[in-house]
Amino acid sequence: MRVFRDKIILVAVLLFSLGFVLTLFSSGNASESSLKSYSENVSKKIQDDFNSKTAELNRQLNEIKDKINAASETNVKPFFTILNSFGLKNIRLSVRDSSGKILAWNKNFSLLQSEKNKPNNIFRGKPFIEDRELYTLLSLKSSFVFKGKKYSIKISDVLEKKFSLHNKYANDVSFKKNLEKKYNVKLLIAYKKTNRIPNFINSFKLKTINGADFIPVIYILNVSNSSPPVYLFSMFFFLFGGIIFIFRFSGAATEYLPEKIAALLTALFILIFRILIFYIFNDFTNLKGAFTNPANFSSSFAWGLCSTPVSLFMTTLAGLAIAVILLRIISSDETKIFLSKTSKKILPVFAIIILILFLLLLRGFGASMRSMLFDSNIKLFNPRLAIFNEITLFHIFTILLVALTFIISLYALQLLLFTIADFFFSTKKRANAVILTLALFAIALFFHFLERAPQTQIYVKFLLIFFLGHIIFWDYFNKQNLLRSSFIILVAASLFSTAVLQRQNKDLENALFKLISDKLANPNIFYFDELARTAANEITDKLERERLPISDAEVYSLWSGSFLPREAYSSFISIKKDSNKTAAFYYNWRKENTPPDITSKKDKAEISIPVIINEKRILIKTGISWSDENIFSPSEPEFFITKKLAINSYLPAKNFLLFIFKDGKPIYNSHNISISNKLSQSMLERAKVKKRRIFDVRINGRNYICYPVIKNRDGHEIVSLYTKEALAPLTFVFENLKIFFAQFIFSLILIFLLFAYKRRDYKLRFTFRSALFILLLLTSIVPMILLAGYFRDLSDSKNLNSTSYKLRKRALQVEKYLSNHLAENDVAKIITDAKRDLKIEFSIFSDGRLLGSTHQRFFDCGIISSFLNPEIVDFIGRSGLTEKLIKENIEKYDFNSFYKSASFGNKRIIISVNDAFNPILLPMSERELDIVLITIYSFAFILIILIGLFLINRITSPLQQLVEGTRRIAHGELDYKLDIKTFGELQDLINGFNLMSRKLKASQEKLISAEREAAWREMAKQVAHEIKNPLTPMKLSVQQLMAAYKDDSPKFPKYFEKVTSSLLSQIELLSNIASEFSAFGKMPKINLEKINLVELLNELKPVFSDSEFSIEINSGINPVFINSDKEYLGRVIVNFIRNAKESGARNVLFTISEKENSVALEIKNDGAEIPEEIKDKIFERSFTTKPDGMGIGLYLSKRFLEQSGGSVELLRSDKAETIFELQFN
Amino acid sequence: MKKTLIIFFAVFSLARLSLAQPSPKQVIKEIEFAFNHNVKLLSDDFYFKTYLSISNYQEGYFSPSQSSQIIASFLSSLPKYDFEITNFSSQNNLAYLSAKIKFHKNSSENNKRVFITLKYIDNFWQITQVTFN
Repeated sequence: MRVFRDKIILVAVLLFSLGFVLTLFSSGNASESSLKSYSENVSKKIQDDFNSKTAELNRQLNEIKDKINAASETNVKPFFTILNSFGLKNIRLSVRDSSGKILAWNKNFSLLQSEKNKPNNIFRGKPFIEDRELYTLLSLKSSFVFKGKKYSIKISDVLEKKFSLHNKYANDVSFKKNLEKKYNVKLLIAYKKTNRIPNFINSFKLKTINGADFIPVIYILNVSNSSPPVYLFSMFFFLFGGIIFIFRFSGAATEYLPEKIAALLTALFILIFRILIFYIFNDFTNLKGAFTNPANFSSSFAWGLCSTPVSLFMTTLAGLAIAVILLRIISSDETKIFLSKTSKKILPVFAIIILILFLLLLRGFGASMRSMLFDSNIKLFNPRLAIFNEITLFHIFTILLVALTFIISLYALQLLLFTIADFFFSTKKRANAVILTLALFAIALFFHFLERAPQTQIYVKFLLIFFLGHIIFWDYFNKQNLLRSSFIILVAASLFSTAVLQRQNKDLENALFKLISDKLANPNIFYFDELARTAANEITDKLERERLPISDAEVYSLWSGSFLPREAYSSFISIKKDSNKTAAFYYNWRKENTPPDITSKKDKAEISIPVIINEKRILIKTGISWSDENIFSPSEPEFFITKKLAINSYLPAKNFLLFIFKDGKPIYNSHNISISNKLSQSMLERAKVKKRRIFDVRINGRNYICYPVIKNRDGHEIVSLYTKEALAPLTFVFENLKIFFAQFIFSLILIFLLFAYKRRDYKLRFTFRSALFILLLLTSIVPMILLAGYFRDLSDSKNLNSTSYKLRKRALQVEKYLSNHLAENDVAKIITDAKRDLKIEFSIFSDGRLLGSTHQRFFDCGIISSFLNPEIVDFIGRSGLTEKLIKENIEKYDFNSFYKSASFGNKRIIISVNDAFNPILLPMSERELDIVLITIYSFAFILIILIGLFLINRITSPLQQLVEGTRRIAHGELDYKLDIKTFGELQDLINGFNLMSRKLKASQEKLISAEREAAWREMAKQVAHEIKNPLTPMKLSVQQLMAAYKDDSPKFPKYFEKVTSSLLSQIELLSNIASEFSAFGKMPKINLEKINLVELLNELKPVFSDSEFSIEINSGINPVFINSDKEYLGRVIVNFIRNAKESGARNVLFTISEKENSVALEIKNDGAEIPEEIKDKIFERSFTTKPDGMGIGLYLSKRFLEQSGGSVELLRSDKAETIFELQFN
Repeated sequence: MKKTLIIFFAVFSLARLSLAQPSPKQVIKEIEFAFNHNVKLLSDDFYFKTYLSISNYQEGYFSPSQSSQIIASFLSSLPKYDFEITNFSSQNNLAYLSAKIKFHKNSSENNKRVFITLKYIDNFWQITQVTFN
C-alpha cells in the first residue's frame, strides 16, 4: 500500500474518483421546472437565431440594392451581374418590374409553373414565410428605383427542403434539424396553421425584428435529459486519472514490490480500467459520432467490449499493454530461473499448453482480421475510395494495433516455447533454431488441416512463425534497440494483417455478391405487394391530414418522403383527381412494355386505392417494379439514382451484368455485351457444373466473377448468370499498398511516441545521417507533388476539352434537327422525336425560360430550375458570343453544360446539352486519376524512404565507423583499424585513418619507450637517492664501530649495541622504501562481475550515515546491473564519500540513470568548492591538498574505472555543490 | 426477469433445433418476443449480412452483431412501445412479416412500421432484411 502514498498516484486516484462521482450527476430525469426553464432559454436562443438570420437577409438585400444604385448601365443587364456576384449558399434572389415580370434572378432561384400565380405583394419590407411546394422559404421583399423605373427585389433563404436525392449528392437543408441538433431538443415548427397541436413543453411564435407577428409557431416537444458538459467533464477526469494512475503505478510500484508482481498488478489495473469504462460510460456511446457508431464496427466478441469502433480501440490498447507486460515477464531472467527450477516432467505439459494457446492465437489472428471486415461497413479495399476518411483511418489504425497485439502475444508464446526447448536442446546453434522453427510450423500445418475453416492463410502462418523465430534467435527485440525492433514488429504487423485482410476481403466480396445475386433472382414478391399497399395507405393518411397535391412536384415530395426510394428500384405514385387531372411521379419506371417475364419472377406490384377526401373522389396508385431491365439498365441519371437501396448500398446494380439462357439458348443480355457462342456455351456448361458456386470467367479480355442461378419453369430450364467485373490484380496491389502506406505512417507516429516516452534513454542529435535523409525527402517529394499537380491539371484540361467537344457536337446535331423540323408547331413533339432519333438529352430555353426538354419531368418536379442559368444570360448579353461551356451543379452533383444560341423560326433560343444526362466516357476521370496518383505516389514515397534509408546507411556507415574509430583512438586503442571497402574520397579517408592510427601507434611506442627509459632513470635516481640517505649514516656507524674495535675501546660493547640498532633501523627503512616502490609499481587485479549498483550503494550507506551526515540514493529503477569489481568499486565510492566528508559536506546524493548503452552514477555533495585552478589536477598522481595526503585516491579511482571500461569526471563544483559523474559501460 | 428471458429463449431455440424443417412461425414468435424484450436475443437469427433500412438512421448491410446493436440502439431511443405483428406471409424459402411499433409520445399514440424479410438458409430461418419506416 506504500505505493499509494506517491503524490502523483494520489492525485490520479482523486481525479479518477471525481470522474466517477460526476457521472452520477450527468444523467437522470430533469425536473419539470428545470425542463421548462431550459426550454424557455432555448426559445430565446431560437428567436435570436431567427433574428440574426433575418438581419443577415436584410443586410444582404440592402447591399445588393446599393450595388444596383451604383451601376452605370441604363438597361437591366447589371442586375444579372450583381445578383450573381454574391456567392450565397441557398439564397435566392429575383428582380421584377412593376408588372410583376421577373427580369433577373440568381443561380439558386427557381419557380414552379404552379407557383407563378401566387400573390406576390405581401409583407413588403418585412420578412415573411413562403410555404412552397418543395421548399419553405424565409423571404424579404423591397423596392427600388433604377434610372427612373420602379422595380421590386426579393431575397429568400431556404428554411426547409421537402425532398431529398437519397444519395451522396443530396444537399438537405433544414432549419428545424439544425436547431434540434444545436439545442439538443425535439421541435415541431408549424410554418402554417395546423390543427395537429401535440403536447409540448413550451411553444412560442417567432417575431420579426420590427415587431410584426409571424406565422411559424415553434413547439418544443422534448428536451434531452443528458447533461453533456457534466458528462464530458466526468469522462475527462475518469480517463485522465486512470491513465496517469496506470503510467505512474507501473513505474513507482517497482520501488515497493518485486518487479514481476508490479508488472502483473499493472496488467490487472489496465484490465479493470478498461472494464470500468465499459460499465460506467458504456464506452462513450452517448457521444454520437462515427467513432461510437456500431454501423462502422461492432463485434459480439468480449462480451460487448468491442461493440463500437472506440470500444474495439480501447480493448485493443488494453490488450496490447497487457501483451507487452507479459512479454517483458516472459523474456526476463527470472522466468528462465523459474523454468530451470521446474521439474522436467512438468515442462513438456506446460509446453503443450503453451503450444495450444499459440495455435489458437494463430487462428485468432485471422479471425480478428475477418471480424474487422465482416463486422464493419468500412470498405478498406475500395478502388472508388481514393482517400480514406477519418473513420477508415481510425479503423486501419485499430487493425494495426490488433495485429501488433497478436504478433507480440505470439512472439511471447513462441519465445516461451523455445525457452522451454532450451532445457532439452541447445537452441543456441543456428541449425537447432531452424529445426525448432520448422517443427513449430509442422505442428501449425497439421492444425491448419484440422481446422474447419482456417482463418489465416498457410503461407502467412509459415512466414509469421519464421519471422518470430528469426527475431527470437537473433535477439532483435531487445532493450538496446527498442525503437528499431518496435519498428520492425510494427511493419511486420502491417504486412501480415494486410495479407490476411486481402484474403478475407475476397471472401466477403464473394459472399456479398452471392447474397445480392440471390436477392435479385428471388425477390420477395409478397413483401413488395405489402410495401406498395403500405405506401398507398400512408399517402392516403397524409392526404387526409393535409391538403391535396396539385402538382407533380408535390407528388415528388410525397414520394421522396415515403420509403419507396429506400426500398424499390422502380416505383411511382399517381394521384388522380375528379377533374381527370393526374399529378404523378415515376422513378426509373418504364411505362412501355417491359421484357417478357422470363425469369419466373413476378416483377411488378401495383396498388390502387380509391378514397374520398374533402368530398372529392381521388384514386391513389402506387407501384413497385423489380424487372431486370429496370435494375440493370436504370433510366435515371447518375445524380438521381438512390444509393440507399438494398443492392446499390453494396455495389451499383448497373455494374452487374445478367445473362439468361433458356433451354441452353441465350435469351437475355442486360448490357448487350457481344460474346461469342463458344464463350456463351462455355459459361453455361460451367454454370451447370458449379451450380450455386461462384466461378471466374474472362469476357472480352476482362476478368469477371459469375454466380449461376438455375430454375425450372414450365419444363424449361432457365439459367441466370449474375456477373460482375473482378478487381484487377494490379488494383489489389494498389489497394494493399494504400492500407500499408496508412499503417506505415501510423507506425512512424507510434515510434515517435515511443521515443518521446523513452526520450531519457536516447540522445536527440541532428546527425549527418538525419540531415541527408531530410534532404533526400525534400528533394524527391517536393518535385513529386509538383509533378502530381501538373498531371492533374493536364488531365483536367484534356477532359474538359474532350467534354466540350462532345457536348458541342451534340448541340450542333440538335440545332440542325430543330432547323429541319421548323414546320412542325408542336415543340414538345419535336423534342420527343429529336430524343428518339438523335439519342441526345437536351433542353431549349427562350427568353430566359424553359421552352421544352427531353427530361421535362425534372423541371416539372422542381429538381432543376426552369429559369436559364443567369451566368449564361449575363455572358450572352454582355459578350454577344453564341456558345459557352460552364460548370453547373444539382445539389452536390457537378456537371458540365454546353449552351448554344440558335434560331428556331423567329425565336432566339438557347440549346443546352450537359453530361449529367448525356454521360461522356472519358479516358480517365478526375477520381480515377486521383486514385492512380495517390497510389503511385504512396508507393513511391515508401520506396523513397526504404531505398533512401538503405543508401544513406551505405554512405554514412563508413563515417559512423570513422567516428567510432576516432573515439577509440582517443581512448588509446591505437591498434584499432577500419576494415571497410568503399569508394572514392571515403576510401581515401579510411586509408588515411588507418595510416594515421599506424603512425600514432608507432610514435606512441617510441614515446612509451622514451618515457619508460626516462621513468627508469628517474626511478633509479629516486631509488639511489632514497637508498643513499640511510647508507651514509650506516657507513658512518660501521666506520665508528670499526674504529672502536681497532682501538679496543672499552665502549665497544656500548657502540656495538648502538650501531647494530641503528643499522637495523636503517635496513628496516630500506625495506620499507623497497615495499613502497614495489606497491606503486603493481596494479590491482580487477575481477569483473555483474553487480547491482543500487544494492552496493545501499550496503555502503549505513557505514557513513549519522545525524550530521546523510547519504541519499535516487534511482527510478532497481536493480541496475553493471559489470565491475564489487570490492574495488566499493573502495572507490568510499573514497568519494570520505573526500566529501573531509571537505565539510553534510549531504551526499547518489543518482543513477540508465542510458542507451551505459549506466551513469552521479555523486553530488554540498562540501567545499574545488578551486578552479586545481580542477584539472585532482585526478593526477601525487596531487593532494591534504597535509597528510599522498595524492593517490582519486588517481587510483580514475585508473580503476577506466580499466574496467568506465570513466569519471568532475561535472561541476561551486559554492553550492560538487558533482562527479561515474560512467559504467 | 433475466433468468426468465434466458429460459424462454432457450426453449424457443431447442424447439427450433428439434424440428427438421421448422416453420417460420417459430422464428416469428421469437422476433416478436425479442422486439418486445431484448432485440439482442436475435443476434443469432440474422443472416451474415442483413440489410437494415432505418429512416434517418442507418441504411446498409450489417453483420449480426452490428444489426442487433443498431436496432437495439434505435429502439432504445423510443419510449416504451409494443411490437405487434400485423401481417405475415411465407412461400417456399421466403417469408416476410410486417409489424407496428406502437408507443405513446406526448400523450398521443404513434406508430412505426417494421418490415422484416426472412429466408430459409442452412436449415434455419434467417432475417435478411429489416426496414423501419
